[in-house]
Amino acid sequence: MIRKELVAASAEPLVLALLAKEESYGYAIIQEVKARSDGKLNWTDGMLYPVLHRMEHRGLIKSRWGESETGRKRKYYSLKKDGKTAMAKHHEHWTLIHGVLSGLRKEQYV
Amino acid sequence: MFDLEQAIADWRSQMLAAGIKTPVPLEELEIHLREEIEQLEKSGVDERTAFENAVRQTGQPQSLKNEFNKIETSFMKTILKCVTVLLIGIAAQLPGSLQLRDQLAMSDKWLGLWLLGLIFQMWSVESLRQIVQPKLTGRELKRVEWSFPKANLKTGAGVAVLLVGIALMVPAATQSVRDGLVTFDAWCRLVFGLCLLIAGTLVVCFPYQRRAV
Repeated sequence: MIRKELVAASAEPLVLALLAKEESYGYAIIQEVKARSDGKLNWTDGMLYPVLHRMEHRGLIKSRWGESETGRKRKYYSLKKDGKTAMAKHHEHWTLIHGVLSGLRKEQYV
Repeated sequence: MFDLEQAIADWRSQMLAAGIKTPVPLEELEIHLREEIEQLEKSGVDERTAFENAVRQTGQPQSLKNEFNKIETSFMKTILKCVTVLLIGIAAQLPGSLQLRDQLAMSDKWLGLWLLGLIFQMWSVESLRQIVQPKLTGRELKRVEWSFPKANLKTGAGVAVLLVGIALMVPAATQSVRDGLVTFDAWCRLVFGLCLLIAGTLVVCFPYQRRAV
């Protein structure tokens, strides 16, 4: 089970990375994260929306109302320019942390 | 007989009762809930169980409300707090400013209040800048480490400006101790000195540069 602090910290970079591929909506974002993490990264679904709203508030993403193929109303989110910059920063930070951890782990086996 | 529409209406009431009153989050959450129910039903779960599981997965109304509240209130509350402090600062400077206008001098007690008002104003302006600037320009400040010799030059320049500022404030301090009031000339020097003092302190202590959010 991944600690909730880590889940919360990873929410923004994951959403940004998913939206960098294409615009998406809340339900699809959650499903994709679940699928890509084999269900290990399990967000409380409703908690994604405050994260999305906060990111929209900060100008990282934008939203528009649209319709699904079945005619259901959906709110689609897409990345803004500042979101791309923020995503690059997140990537840099997470890569750094991953690099440090990997390096330390390798040293344990030398 | 389980009525899904009634169950969703009850769930909406619970959300409203918990305080999720703004239409957009509630509508989005309901759409999400319906999508989850639909998927669960497709996987063979009956309507009631699908609804109960979807509600559980969506989250507790109170925790959701707390999360949404953080966004909605934090911005407005901070702006309101800053504006209030700014107004208090301006009000605190009024008696001294009026005395200065009428008598071309400011008494000790009004000068003290005037300076306190200035501190209030500076705090609120800086707080407002921190909130508003990233929204307007898309940039915020990032802490940076200054290396030799840049760091030493920066500190040296800052201390020099700071000392000039203090020197300009001396006449006002002397007058204040001696006469219990500060004349207009000395007050002008005091204000200019304060500006230099702040600028010098910022140069010495401010380890930031602008960067994109």
